[in-house]
Amino acid sequence: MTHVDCPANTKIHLLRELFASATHDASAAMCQWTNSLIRLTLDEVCEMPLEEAVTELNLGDDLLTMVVLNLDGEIGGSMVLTFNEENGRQLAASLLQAEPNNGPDWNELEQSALMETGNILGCAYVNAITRLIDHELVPSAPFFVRDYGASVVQQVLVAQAGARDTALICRTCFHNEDNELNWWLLFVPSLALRQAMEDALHKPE
Amino acid sequence: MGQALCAAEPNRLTTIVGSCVAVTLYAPRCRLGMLGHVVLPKSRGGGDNLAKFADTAIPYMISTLQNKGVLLSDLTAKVAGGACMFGDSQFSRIGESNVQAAIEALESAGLRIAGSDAGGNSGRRVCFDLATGVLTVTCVGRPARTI
Repeated sequence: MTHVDCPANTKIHLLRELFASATHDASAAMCQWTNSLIRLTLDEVCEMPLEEAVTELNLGDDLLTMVVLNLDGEIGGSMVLTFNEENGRQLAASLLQAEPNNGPDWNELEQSALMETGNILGCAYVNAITRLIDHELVPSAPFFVRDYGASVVQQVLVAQAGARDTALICRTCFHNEDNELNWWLLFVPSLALRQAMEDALHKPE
Repeated sequence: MGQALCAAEPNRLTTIVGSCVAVTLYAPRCRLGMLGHVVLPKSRGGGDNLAKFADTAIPYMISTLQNKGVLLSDLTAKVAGGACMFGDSQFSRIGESNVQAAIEALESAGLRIAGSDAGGNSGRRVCFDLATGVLTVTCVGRPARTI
């Protein structure tokens, strides 16, 4: 991803450590939830120009299956869990212990399985951040979305776009044993949450 | 996102919008136009990125085309996007504000809005054909639409 060359890189480094810890917690939760070897690794914490954010994330022009969680309140943000269609169907089938559904629509059980996955991952991240900033974060109910990935990412970047021309995005990737899966977890903090995290990371001990 | 690009026939400009709004200005006589990807409605005097806000993007697009010899009277405008994607926060309703602000800015500039495809709850893929000025808008759950 393109990195913005600015004096705040030290802050990005500290945030990277925080998100690595949160990703570790989320990975443990994911292993338990899927009863398998699916794990998460932190791919990138990056600040990039707004006009490049969607391109850099390389979400493509195809429709994606996504679960979105918002963190309500001023100190909040958004999480987007993305799958391509095939990967999403396989995960839902695995969780439901059923054959993958190849029909055009997702039934309620399948949507529910993916939303719960988003919930579990989101809560792992939220708990890690809450421990750091000592401020309660309230995740919304998850939203199941099938749409262009770029259109969803634009929505979650709007909160940052009002005050800055750059966006801070944390991206996590998924692995099944040694294979990288075509799933991504994006975390986009609000400006207030970002400031709260940076302040907490800079607190003298 | 937050960009405005100028092109001429035979090129096509494509973008994907959710709550953002795609605004096109087209001069049919010279088959030249601009596609703006607007993120927020009002600049309130802040920021250097003119293309990000509806109230600065449209004047910027007009002046860019005028600098290339296009007359204001030659231009037609179209608008697509501004969906309410999900959630119930102030930001989830930004799409509607973006559409309103874009239309206000276009009308203030005296431009005729020749077509629009806005609102709803889904993203849109917008393809702007500079040979004809036609926008092809693709959206989940419905056939592609041309405006």
